[in-house]
Amino acid sequence: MDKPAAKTPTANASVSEKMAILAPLIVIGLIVIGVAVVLGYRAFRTTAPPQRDLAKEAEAALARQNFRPLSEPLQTLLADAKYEPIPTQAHSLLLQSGPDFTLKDVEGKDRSLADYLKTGPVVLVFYYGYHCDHCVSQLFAINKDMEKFRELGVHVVAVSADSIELTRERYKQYGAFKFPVLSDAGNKIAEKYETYTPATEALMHGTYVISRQGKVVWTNRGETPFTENRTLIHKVAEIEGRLAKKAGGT
Amino acid sequence: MTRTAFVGAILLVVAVPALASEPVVVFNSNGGFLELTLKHEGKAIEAIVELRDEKGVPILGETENGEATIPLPAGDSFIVELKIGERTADPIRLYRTATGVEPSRVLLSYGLRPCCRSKLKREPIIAGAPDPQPEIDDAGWWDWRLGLAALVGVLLASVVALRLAFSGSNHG
Repeated sequence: MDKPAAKTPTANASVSEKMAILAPLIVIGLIVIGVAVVLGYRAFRTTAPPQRDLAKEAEAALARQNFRPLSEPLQTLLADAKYEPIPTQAHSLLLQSGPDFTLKDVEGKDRSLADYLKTGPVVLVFYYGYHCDHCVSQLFAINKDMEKFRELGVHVVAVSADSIELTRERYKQYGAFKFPVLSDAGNKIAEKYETYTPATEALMHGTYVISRQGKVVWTNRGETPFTENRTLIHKVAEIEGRLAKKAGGT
Repeated sequence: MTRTAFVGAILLVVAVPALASEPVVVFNSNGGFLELTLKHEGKAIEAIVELRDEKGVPILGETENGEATIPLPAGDSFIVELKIGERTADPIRLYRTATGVEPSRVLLSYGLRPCCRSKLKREPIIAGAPDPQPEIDDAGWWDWRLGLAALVGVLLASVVALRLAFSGSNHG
């Protein structure tokens, strides 16, 4: 019976030679795999960023402002003599006729201020557009209290330079608001209400209470959305004669 | 508006909700004079007051303990300008009414007139475009460093492993 061949120095040398050839190949392979992993990770990060939820962000923005929906019945709110609404700001349109407009809603229908005023006062809101949390948060705040506004018979109308298509898309993503949202291409109406200045491209949040007679009776503008719905309800109730008259009315 | 009602209105200024972070001014006309009270978060503040009639003729005054009484300008409306410290509030147009002046309470604002607004940076939005993303911080840089460190680690480990395998086969 033949004995198994013992390893010879020549065989060992042959293994060493093979390893000497394989080693750099293995190292190069590992480098390639490493680079591929890092590049793949980077590519994944840039093409699939975390999805934003503007509705959630707007809700969070409201929470930061300590916004709370009005929980009491409308009659209780109106009967509360201790409540002091936030006063109006100065505005060149204050106690003047609010400029009329005709703008398209999300369905492409023409909506005019004059038509709304035929059936009640109007709370007109100029917002930045549906593209950041605080830009649109006032609309979410009003949406939460919309039943109170309806009960009072006031129209809430929101206006921004957003296209109808963008608003429709946002509605699909986050749901529709309970009030009309109109498209003011180029901020033409915002300019008339002095919430937009073309020369400087300065845009502001703006809220206006307009009486049935078309008179601007209360305004607030600024870089922060106005979310004190109770003040708006109070002011509308006052001009509609649903509040007991108090000293220092406006 | 009677003086008692005016005092009542002044008291109401104190109770203005927290959202009203700027001073509030209360106006009343009384016997040919404009009475005004200026408060910020319930505390009286001082201001230089300028009234201008429709022709732009000025009448100057100033508050004392947050109150001022100044002759009413002629005309159906007039402008009130308040300078508090170095800041001048947006002018307020007051209208004479049968019962006094309107608006009777105003939350002061600053620089909101079209002439005085500065540019707001805003990206145009196109329908169908992806939502704007939050600004990316320098995390990417750290990702690269971590990646490189991992790569170097893997290489070193491979070299050591190969070296061991080498020496094992040589002595085997």
